[in-house]
Amino acid sequence: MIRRREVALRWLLTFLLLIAAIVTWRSAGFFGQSLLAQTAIFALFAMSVDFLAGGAGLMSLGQAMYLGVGAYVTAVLTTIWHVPALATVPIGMALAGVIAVALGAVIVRFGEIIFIMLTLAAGEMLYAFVFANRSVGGSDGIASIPRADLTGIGLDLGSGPVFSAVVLVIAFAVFVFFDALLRSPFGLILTAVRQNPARARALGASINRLRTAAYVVSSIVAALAGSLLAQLNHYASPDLTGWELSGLVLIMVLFGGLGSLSGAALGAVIIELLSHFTARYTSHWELILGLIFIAVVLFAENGIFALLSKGAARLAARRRKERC
Amino acid sequence: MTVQLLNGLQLAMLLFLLSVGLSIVLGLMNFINLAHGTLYMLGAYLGLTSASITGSFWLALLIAPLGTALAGMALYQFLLRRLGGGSPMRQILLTFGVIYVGIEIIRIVWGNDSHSIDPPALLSAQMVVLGEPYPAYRLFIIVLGLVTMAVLFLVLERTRIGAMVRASVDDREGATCLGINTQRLFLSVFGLGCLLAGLAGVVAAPVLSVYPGMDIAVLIYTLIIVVIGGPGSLPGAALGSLLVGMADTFGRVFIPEFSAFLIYVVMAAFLLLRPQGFVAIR
Amino acid sequence: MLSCSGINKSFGALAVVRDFSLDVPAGERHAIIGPNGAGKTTLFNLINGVLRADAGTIHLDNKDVTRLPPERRARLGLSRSFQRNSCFPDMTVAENLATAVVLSWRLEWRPAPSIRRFPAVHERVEVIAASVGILDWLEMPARSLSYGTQRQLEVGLSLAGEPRVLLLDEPTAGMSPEETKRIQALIEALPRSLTIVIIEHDMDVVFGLADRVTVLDAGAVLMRGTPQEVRTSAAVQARYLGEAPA
Repeated sequence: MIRRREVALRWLLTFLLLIAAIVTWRSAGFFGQSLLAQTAIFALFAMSVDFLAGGAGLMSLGQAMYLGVGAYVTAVLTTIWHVPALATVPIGMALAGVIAVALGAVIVRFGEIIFIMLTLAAGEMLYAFVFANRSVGGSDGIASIPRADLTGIGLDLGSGPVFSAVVLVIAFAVFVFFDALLRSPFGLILTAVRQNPARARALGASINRLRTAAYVVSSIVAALAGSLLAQLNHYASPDLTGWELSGLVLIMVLFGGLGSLSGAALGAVIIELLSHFTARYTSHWELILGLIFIAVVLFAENGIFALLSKGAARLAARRRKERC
Repeated sequence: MTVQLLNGLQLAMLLFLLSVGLSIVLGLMNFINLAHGTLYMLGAYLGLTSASITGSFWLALLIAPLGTALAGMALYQFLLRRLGGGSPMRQILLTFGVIYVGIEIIRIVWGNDSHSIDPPALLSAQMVVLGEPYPAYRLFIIVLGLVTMAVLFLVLERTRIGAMVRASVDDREGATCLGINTQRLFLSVFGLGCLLAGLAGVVAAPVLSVYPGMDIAVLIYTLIIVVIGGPGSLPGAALGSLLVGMADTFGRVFIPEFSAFLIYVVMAAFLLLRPQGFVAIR
Repeated sequence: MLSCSGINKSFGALAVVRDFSLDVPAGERHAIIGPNGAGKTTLFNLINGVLRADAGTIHLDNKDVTRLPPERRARLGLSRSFQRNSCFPDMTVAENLATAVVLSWRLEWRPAPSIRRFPAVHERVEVIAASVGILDWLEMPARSLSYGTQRQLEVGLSLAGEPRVLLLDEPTAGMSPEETKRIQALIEALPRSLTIVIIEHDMDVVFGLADRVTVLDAGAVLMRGTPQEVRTSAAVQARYLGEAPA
């Protein structure tokens, strides 16, 4: 019933990415481990945005807001109130969930254009709040954020390879989670709502409730990514909440292929690597990013995953012909 | 108190110049140009450069809006039109990409520092309004805004073009059936919106600092005004600008740490109570 | 089973539905006919909840649904097919029908990793597909179906949720004579536990199926009665039947 080839391709791509990650992990030095971990975190974040934009059809330019919530909850609770970092992760996710329910319930009922405007505004609201308030670090951000203490189960997150390995496992778990969600009855209805909301309504779908649910789930995972990012870099800054990051992750998703899930992860990998290598030669990475964004919207609407999918379809057709 | 009221009014006028074009275009073509703030920023920088080259603020006032309108039309002609019919969402995402490009181009050409220009000699005096001293230049902004508002209102209500715009906002398909060339109408309104954004930029330069990044804060306020005022409505844009302008000004004075929040609270209240906007067009 | 009382709907100055009332007892097959622009589809939009009436009430099995949104009415057993094919184009026929089944069984809120955990869904999908004659197309994307087959899917979607009241909006629109016969047979075979209100232009379908007919003209009821009464009514002849294609 469910499109089998696409799901198979999705898993294949994920396994390929995992293999590439493991190979990198074994040979990477200090900086490489950090990049690997950051890429995995962005892949996680990108998948959450893909679930929202590709799965539920809700294009948001403000998911970085929830990333920021996760990052700042960890940052503030650990540095100011000395709460163990591990505990701050679910707290940040819970706070993100609460905000997402309140905000989402209001804004999902608007058309997609107003929705995108409001998500952009909401993200900037958090940016303005954090920027102006010294109590949460202000424009300087918050530094010296500790990592979670997992020594109880024999893991020292202070070590680069250990941290990136843990993050990779979490990223894979998030992939499995979203994949299951998309293949569940909830995912089926979400897809239906995306393709023909009027018909879905006439069949009994509570559109607003479904969309809000998708928005909340996506935002909670974004907060997880934020908390991990804060722990990786031991630093949280207002930039984590703003439009630049929201746009960056959307580029990753569109580049990889909207709705493909593992395409988003692939997009994250490619864009992250690109940004790190161009940063060596120019400080105008954002210009290149903007041009990539424009190019993707103009020419590669369905992203890399669509190309892979078409290639696989052609392969299957050729094999079928050979059998006859 | 008078000073704050006037400051609020002045900000409201700037915001009106920015939001009216955006709002009508949204009502007309169901499209929003997220790079509108970028055009505002371009107007400010063009004003900066032309004022320093020509030595005349008044020439800058002429050059900057025209340059900005040209940039906007180029954006439309070479990028947006490529997406043809399609969903407006792709066009909107395209303009979002332009924000990144725009900010970097500004940085490359003009650098990262903050600039300012002096108001023209004619307007650098202090006037007295209701017993309080107030800069003449800021009064100029208020007057300019009100005049623009009046002109736009007259055009919208009294001319044929205005009637075509109102009809198209009300019912796009019906208007096309009546023979109104909505595509050309859109182009003119879009161009006017870019012109006004550039005007707002150059006019704002003497009172606000000019720096890369000034586009986003103003964009957000503009988006909020469009949503509160109701897409496609001039009176909505005017009332929304007034509300946001006053809220921001008074918020900064009385509750500085939370002034950012105040605007959003106002917006949220509106979304909950009157989701179709101040003046519901549809 | 379904009753409308005093329904009024205007768009601006244009009154599209004027003081419409109707009582459909359980199990009846009620046809609504009338010239184009008479307000038939608008009426369905009002009954179904897509539009809100300016005045009047709608009751479904004695429950007041006037203020309820479409999804609530659907869950109370009101189902509707659309005049223009309205399915989920990028999903397979099976997925389309599964959507309808999942929604009617409220499975979308049940946490489950895969829809395969619910074999009953697939069974029901096959049953419906067989009943509307699209079993051969289950794995095809809906957009690749021919017009007539899509129409069958449309009917299938509206039946999938085991509704109690079915609103059929011109189910045979644009169909060839054989396809029309097939749909007609399908509808006639539906159990009497289902109440059906059908908008149709094809008079053969109407007179073969309907227990009663309402003739709508410019938003108001011109006449109501058995198919025979309507066929022989002079008023209807003058207004509608004379010019309509058979």
